[in-house]
Amino acid sequence: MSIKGGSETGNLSSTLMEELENKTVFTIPVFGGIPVAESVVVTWVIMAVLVVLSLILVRNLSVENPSRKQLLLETGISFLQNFFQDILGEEGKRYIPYLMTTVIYIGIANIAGVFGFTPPTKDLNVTIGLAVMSIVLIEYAGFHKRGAKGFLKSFMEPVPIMLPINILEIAIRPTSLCMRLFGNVLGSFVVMKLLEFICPAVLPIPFSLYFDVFDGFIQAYVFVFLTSLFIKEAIE
Amino acid sequence: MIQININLVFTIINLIVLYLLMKKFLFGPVIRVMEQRKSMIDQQFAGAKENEQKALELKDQYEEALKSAKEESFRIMDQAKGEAKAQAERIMQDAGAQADEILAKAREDIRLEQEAAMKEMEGKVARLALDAAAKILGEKSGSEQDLSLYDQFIEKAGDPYDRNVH
Repeated sequence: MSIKGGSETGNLSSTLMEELENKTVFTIPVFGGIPVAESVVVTWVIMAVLVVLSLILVRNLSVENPSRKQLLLETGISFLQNFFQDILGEEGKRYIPYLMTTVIYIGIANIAGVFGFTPPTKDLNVTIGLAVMSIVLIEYAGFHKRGAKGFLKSFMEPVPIMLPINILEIAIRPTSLCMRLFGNVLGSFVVMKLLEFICPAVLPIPFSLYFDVFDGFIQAYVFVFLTSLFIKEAIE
Repeated sequence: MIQININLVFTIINLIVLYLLMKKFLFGPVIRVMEQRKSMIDQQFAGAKENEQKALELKDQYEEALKSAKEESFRIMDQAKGEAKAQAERIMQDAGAQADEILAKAREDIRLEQEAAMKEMEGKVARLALDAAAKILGEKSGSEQDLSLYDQFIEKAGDPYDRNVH
């Protein structure tokens, strides 16, 4: 791989394409075989890690004299809580746990590459899933707040002529959410793979810090920030 | 590279399950503890405030009591002073009255004494006169006669000449 020629370039692109493919880890042998993608399996791993970590961290919680571990945990959670509370206000309090779950999940999923896993968010299915959940939550929040009539009426606001655009928004919002996340993660994945191809030693470290860690958290932040903004708009 | 398949459904299921798990195992307990602490602190603050309020009330009460005690003591002192003054006046008056009475009594006594002395003297003078008359008239002539004699003498001579007899 040290000498690059024409055949090597072809080799690179084919390797890259292979890397970009969503691998199927196993197939459930019913209904002619249901493929279970790597992203889903990695998500399971992330879920298991999160649950185990939660169980460890939540042990021995004390109201009166919290340990350092508990203080750290509380600081983190109240930071997230305050962040969402500031956007959503008192009425949106019930959506905060889901948003916190999402930001933790996307954040960990995006930096999964650091730990040697394929980031699940590189799979379009995952980002679409997240976006679908978001739009369902947004519309549910509006429906819950305004009732059926008010919810339908909200599509005619501020003027009835906005009706088609408001309906389009139902599709546009999740699409932009999922494509932004997917594109960022895929892009950084490609760049990282190329860098690893050129120089697998020290070079990828700073880039990994940017593309995997920084960009990963930024994308997680943007995703939940926009979702909570849309929810706020729906319940206003 | 871009393929949408059944994994989309798996992802959504995963998300919902993860949400429920996180809510149960992470956010639920932590938020519960934080809220418990918050309510505890609020309670303590309320208790402290209540105690302060009570202390202030007590202070007011004490001050009020002190003030009324002072007033009371002033009042009692004034009253005592007034009473003492009245009593002193009364005693003075009494003393004056008593002195007057004693004086009057003394005067009366003196007068009575004088009268008594006068009467006694009258009696003595009468006997002296009688004796003198008897001596003059000679020896014995019965005491009844003597008395009438004296009376006659008095009538004839009169009181103003009483002195001359002696």
